[in-house]
This record gives sequence, structure tokens and C-alpha cells, in this order.
Amino acid sequence: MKLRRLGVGLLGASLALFGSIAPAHAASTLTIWVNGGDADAYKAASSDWAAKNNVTLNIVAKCGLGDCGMSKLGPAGAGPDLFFATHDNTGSLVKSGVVASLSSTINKTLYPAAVLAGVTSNYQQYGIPISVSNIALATNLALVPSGAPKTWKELESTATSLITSGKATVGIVTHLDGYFMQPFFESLGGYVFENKNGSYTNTKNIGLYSKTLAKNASLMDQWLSEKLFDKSNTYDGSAFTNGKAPYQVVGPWSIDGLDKAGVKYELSGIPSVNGGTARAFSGVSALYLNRFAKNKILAKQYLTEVVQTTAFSKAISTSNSSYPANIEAAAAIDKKSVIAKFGAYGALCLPMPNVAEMNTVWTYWNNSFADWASGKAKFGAAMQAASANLKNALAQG
Amino acid sequence: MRQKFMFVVTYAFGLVLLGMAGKFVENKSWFLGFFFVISSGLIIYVYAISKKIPGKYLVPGLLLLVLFHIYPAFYSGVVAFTNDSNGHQLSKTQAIDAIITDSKIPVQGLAPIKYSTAQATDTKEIYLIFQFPENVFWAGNSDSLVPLNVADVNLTNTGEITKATGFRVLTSAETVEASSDLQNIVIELKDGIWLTPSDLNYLEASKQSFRYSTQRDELIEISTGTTYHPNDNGQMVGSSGELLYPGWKVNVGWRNFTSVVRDEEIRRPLAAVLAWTLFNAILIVVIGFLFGLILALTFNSPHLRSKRIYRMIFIVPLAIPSVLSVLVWSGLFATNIGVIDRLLHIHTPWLTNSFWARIAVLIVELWITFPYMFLISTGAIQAIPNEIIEAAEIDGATALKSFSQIKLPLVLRTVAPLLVASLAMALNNFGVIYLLTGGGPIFPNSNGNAGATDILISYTYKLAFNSQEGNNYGLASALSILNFALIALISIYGLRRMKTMEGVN
Repeated sequence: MKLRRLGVGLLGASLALFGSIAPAHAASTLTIWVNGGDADAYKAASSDWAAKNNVTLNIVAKCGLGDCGMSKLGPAGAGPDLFFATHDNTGSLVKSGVVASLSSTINKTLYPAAVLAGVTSNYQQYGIPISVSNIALATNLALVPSGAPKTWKELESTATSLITSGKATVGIVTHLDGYFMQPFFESLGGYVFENKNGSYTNTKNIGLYSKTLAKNASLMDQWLSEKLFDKSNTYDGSAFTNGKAPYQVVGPWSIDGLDKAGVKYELSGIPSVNGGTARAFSGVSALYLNRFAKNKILAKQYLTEVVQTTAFSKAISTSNSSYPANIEAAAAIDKKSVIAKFGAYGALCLPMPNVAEMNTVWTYWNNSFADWASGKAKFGAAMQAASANLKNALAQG
Repeated sequence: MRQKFMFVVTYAFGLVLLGMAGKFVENKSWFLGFFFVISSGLIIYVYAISKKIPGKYLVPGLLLLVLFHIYPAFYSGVVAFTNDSNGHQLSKTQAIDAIITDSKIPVQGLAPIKYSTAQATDTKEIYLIFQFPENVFWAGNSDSLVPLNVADVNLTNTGEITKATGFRVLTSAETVEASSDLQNIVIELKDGIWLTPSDLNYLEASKQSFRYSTQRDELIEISTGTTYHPNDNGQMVGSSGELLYPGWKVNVGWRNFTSVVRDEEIRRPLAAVLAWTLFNAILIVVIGFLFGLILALTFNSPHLRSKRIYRMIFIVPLAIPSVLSVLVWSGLFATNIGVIDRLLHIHTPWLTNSFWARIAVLIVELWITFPYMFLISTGAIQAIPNEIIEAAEIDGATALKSFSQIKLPLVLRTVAPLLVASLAMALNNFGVIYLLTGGGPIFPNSNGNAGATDILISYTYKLAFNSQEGNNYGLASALSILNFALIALISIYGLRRMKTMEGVN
């Protein structure tokens, strides 16, 4: 009996306790969701600021390639103040209304124009750029002692002569998809959306089967039959490391593997058929401001006083071996380093379209590449289909 | 002693649940908050206060049933009738607010205005004190804008306001503390100029380009006078059909369900996907069962030694998480460089050719299913009393006869419900398809959504999360409900058939 009364009492007490703890909320806490693996670097680089301003920083490693689940969590009030995303999400984040403009916070002089274009949508900047990444061409120095190709002719003749002499099984190890093939695609005159001064504002102008591409498309078929590209589309990295392929299209993520395999290579841009350099897509990783953040002003203050400093950019870039978006921090990088080589090519690259329509493009574009590689269609026909399907889908959307 | 211990444990658990309830309430998840308050109370009542024995057995199961089955089912039922998707995630107020704030135009040629945060000495309200233009001082917040006398304000050389009569200027630490209140302050100047704090030091001046009229429920573009009205898909639309983003979530009735018939894009590959879904599920259950049964019969032979070791080996595919093994399989199947192609010296385009991709899916599914079939068959065979078999032998039945007339019916009787369950699982076998082929290779003319190895649920997944609007939760929920209905029908039919079979015995 006594126990029972005690029980009722405790139940009441715990309900009262629950009532008092639920609304408690610290006045100056800043929650930031960052890319997996970057949390410690962010913490180290912002701890001084947090201590000085008496702010509790809650940095969580949570994000990756997508939008961090923000399109659901933001409006529900469960999102952080700031979150990490790659710039190609900008369009759909803005379309969903889950990010707030940072135009008045960003110091545009700190970043290259192409990087700024990446985080811009409807003439407003929505992200503070952190780093830039892109693919590049690795040349196997054991097979090609003369080093990285200066022109497309040099690349093609080196590769084909190595293949015909049986020294190599494939010319360029690459994924046969939109992202990896973009430089080759562009040098034949194809493009996804019209790009003016680095921005994609006209998504009606689709160039997957542009007139120039239509004229040059047979070159792709020729390269496939010359084994310049591997039609099994398997991205056989071991062919490169075993000295069976002179070239490989690599990203910053491939470097560890290449170094471990002990292969000697040189990094460079990808030469264009028309001379000069063909442009790959560059990706910008950036911090975005949640429209439903609990403390937007403090978040902006943090972006201004911490994230946009050169020291912060350097710290993050050193910790995750990425190329900093900040111009000054980028200039401080050792020119001979691998990061700098990626960055040097990246400076010439095209920002990946950040419009919401890009999601649709990947589907059709990649499928057409697959159809071409598997021999279902000639390159021109495959791209013509991609272009038609895309136009159709966007018209319905 | 033991009673007291149980008592403490029960209360501790109840408090943990209450703490979770607090978290959910904090995030405005009212249902889950409510649910955890109730379950906390219920658990304490049943285990510590009333001590009703039946309750002790029923409550945990019931609570988990509500949390993990009824709530998600109810939730997807609700979502299925909305247009919840990228671009339609906000509430209407949020969306209109977003359109207005995003279209603000910064006032050109105006330097950022420095401000200080202050508290009115009488009302304790927060004000922002700033000068605009030169030597004209103001204290303002969203509700009021008060002019200040120049003499009452102390301005430093750096343009900072450190004192104002009637106000207490906050220290920088206090400003940081008040920062979450600052973000909602909008000061309206004359000429339609709005001042909002852009950080803790500066105000930015901007003009609105849209105005919302609550009465007429329309957005008005101030410069042109164009009006935008809400459409029935939760979006503001101009007279010429121009859409404003973001939109908001609205109820769309049965639209998501009917889109299966109405939407050309969804309908076109549906027949092929449906056929493969059924074919794949039935084939895998039949082959898997036969394979398992034959193995079970073989390894049940009294002449075989170390049976236990063999049986243990057969459980391995079941024991390895299929997420891992399927990814390993996809590596084995890689064309030319994969282990299978290298070992057999073939160049089969396993995952890029429709026919071979289907074969690959079947192989992997068989590998995952047969141990289960082997287990249940072994169990069923061992449950057959020896006397029956012996009696059959004495009656002169051959091995084949005794298998087909006696063992098989008895085994089937035991395992039939399990086979129906396996069929339901095979119809929903998302993991293998998604990890091995991703549904590919893609059909031409399916607009990239459906492929040769797509089953209904993986097709649904791609439609919902890969379509041009990005994630389309409403459509996904509706399609998964339809998928559920289909599988329920097949299972009910299967169970009915099974009952008639019981009659045979």
C-alpha cells in the first residue's frame, strides 16, 4: 500500500519534471552539420571563436553527397543552423525553400567567379564555399615517359600505338557516364545547359545533342572501337596501376589508392580535341543556412568571422586534402602538391549545373552513355534520345 | 529486495521514456511526444502500481505495435494523399514568407548600417539603435520606430553607439545571448525600405518585390502589379502560368493513386515490371524450395557422416548480412575483370545485359534463399514419424513413391505457410535488386526509371526518389500502399489454397 502511494507520487513528480525540462533551450547554441570526417577540423578551427563569444558549438558529422535530409528536416524544425552540401544541390534546396539567402554575408572578393556561380541561384548566393573538387587526368609515367599529354592528338596517338603494340589493353580508364565523360563530351561540342558567365539561367537551351556534337559524334564511336575507352564500362583501376593503361580519369578520392599501389603518375587537365583544355565539372562544397534555423544572426556572424577567414579555409583543406575555395588559402598551397594539380585544372573547369533540373539530366544522360558503351546505340543516336527524353521530361515537370 | 529493485528499474525506464517525450515535444512531434508520455505512464502503472498480470504481458507488445507498425502505416496513409515532394515541403505561410524574403532587392548604393542592440530601460524590450541617414538616430524593432535626439546618443569615432538615454546598450556577450531574438526583427522605414540585421553589427536595407494580400489570398509583384494566385497543387501561379517557388503541401486527394493509370510515364513500363516481379518471386520460391528440399533429403540420409558440419556450412549465406554478400556478388559479376568471368574465361555482360542481369539476380537470390528452405525442409522431414515410412516400405512402396506420396505431402503441409510468407518477402525483395543491379539495365523509352530487373517496389523507389521533381514522398507512399495491397491479395490467395491442401490430409 505504501509502495503504491509512493508510486503515484513519483509518477506525478516525473510528469512535473518533464513539464519543466521540455521548453528549456540554451540562448546561444549553434548547430552545424558537416561532411562526415570533417567534424574535428571544424571544431578545432572554430573553438577560439566559440570560447570568445560564449557560444556552444554543436558540430555533427552528418552530411554527404545529398541535401542532408534537409528538405524534410528543415521545415519540421528539426534541422541545424548551418549544414554542409555540395553546390549542385543549390537549385533544389532553393526550390524547396529550405535555405536562406547569404548574399549579404558572403564576401564575394574571397572566391573565384566560377565558385560563386556554383552557390548562386536567382542572383542570390545561398552557400559559403569551403572547397572545390574535380576530376583530372593521370598519366602513367611507366608507359608514357614523356608525361602528361599536351594535346588530344598526342593523347590519342600514344594510347592507340600502345594498344596496337599490345602493351596496353585500354587507353583511358574512366567511367562511361556524364560526370566522367563531360570533358570529352564538351570538346566535341556538347553541353548540358547553356552557360553564360558561369551561370545556368536558361534551362530551355539543352545541348546534349547540339549541332556540333551531332557532327562530331562519330568520333566517340571511333574512340570506343579503338579501345581508347573500355566498352565493358568497368573502370578497371588495376589496368592503370599494373601498367596496362596509359591514362586514367581520377578524382581526389583516387589518390590514396594510386599512391598505395606505388605507380608513378602525373596529373594534368584533359586536352580538348579542338586544342586547349576540355572542361570537366567542378564541384563546390559549401555551408548553407537553414531557413528555419533557431539562430540565423549568430550563424551569419560565425560565417563572417570564422568560415570566411583564410585560416579556416587552410585548416579544413589541410585536414581533408581538398582544394580550398578561398583564393588566398588556395594561393598558399604548395604548387607541386597533388591538391594544387587538381586545383590548377579545376580553375579552368565548368561549375556543375546547380539547377534543380540537373537531377533529371543525370538519369537520361547516364543511360545514354550506358547504351552507347554496351553497343545498343551509336553515340549520336544515344545522345539524340537523351536530349529528346530530357526535353520531354522537363516540359512535363 | 527484488521487488524494490524492479520498482526502481521500472521508474528509471519510465523516466527515460519521458525524457524521449520531451525531445519529441521540443521538435514539435506532437504525436510521438504524446505517445511516449502515455507509454511511460502506462508502463509505470502496469509494472509498479497496479501489478495486473495480463497487462504485464500485453503492454510492451501493444506499445511496440503502435510505434513500429500502426504509426508508420497511418503516417504513409496520410502522406499518400498529399503532394509532399521537393518544392512542396513547407506550409503555406512558410512558403509565402519564403517567396517574399527571397525576392527582397537590396537597396543599391547604400552602405551597411551599423547598429547596437539595446534594451529599453522601462519596458525591457529589445531595440536596435542606429543612425540613418547621417546624424539622424533611431531606436526600432518590428513593432515601433522611435526617433532619438542627437544629444541623447553617444557615438564613438568608429561609428558605434555606446549610450542612449532611455536605453541600456547591451554588451557583446549579451548581444550574442539575445541573437536568437534578433533574427525576427524587421524595421520598416518609410518608402517601403526594410531594415533587417544581417549579422550582429550591421543592418541591411532592402525593398520587397512581392506583397501578400491576406484578404484576397494573392501575391502582388509590387513593381508591375502582376498578381499570383494559389493553384490546387499548392503553388502561386501567375495569369500566364508562371510558377513561383517554393510551393507548399496540400491535400491532392486520390491523385497519387490514380497516377498509376493516368500518368503515361508511370504506366508504360508497369506491365513488364509487374511480370518480372511475379515471375522472379515465384521462380525463386519454387527453385529455392526444391533445391533446399533436395539438399535436406540428401543430408538426412542415415549413411552420411558429419552431417552437422555440412548443415552448419549451409547456414553461412543466411548468417552473412545480405547487404554485404550482395555487394560482394556484384563485384564477382563484373564483366571481364570479375572473378566469375576470369575463372570461366568468358566475357558475359552480367549486369549490363537484360537477360544476364536477370540470371545474375536469380543466382544471388537463390544463394540467399536456399539455406532457409533447407532449414525448414530438414525440420519438416525430421518431424515425420519413422513408423509411417517403415509402414510404407513394408507395404512395398518404392523410394520414389514413399517420397512423392508420403514425405512430400507431409513436408508441404508443414512448410506451406512459410512458403507463402517467403513469396510475400520475395515480392518485396528490394535489397538484392537495389544493391546488385539497381533495377538496370534500363528499358529504352522508360525515361530512365524502369529496368529489366526492376521489381515493383524498386520501381516505386526510383519513381519516388529519382524523378524530375526530386523526392516525391506523396507518390512513394501511394505506390507503396498499392504494392502492399497487391502482396496482401497474393498472400491471402496463397493461404486459401493452403487450407484446401490441409483438407487432403
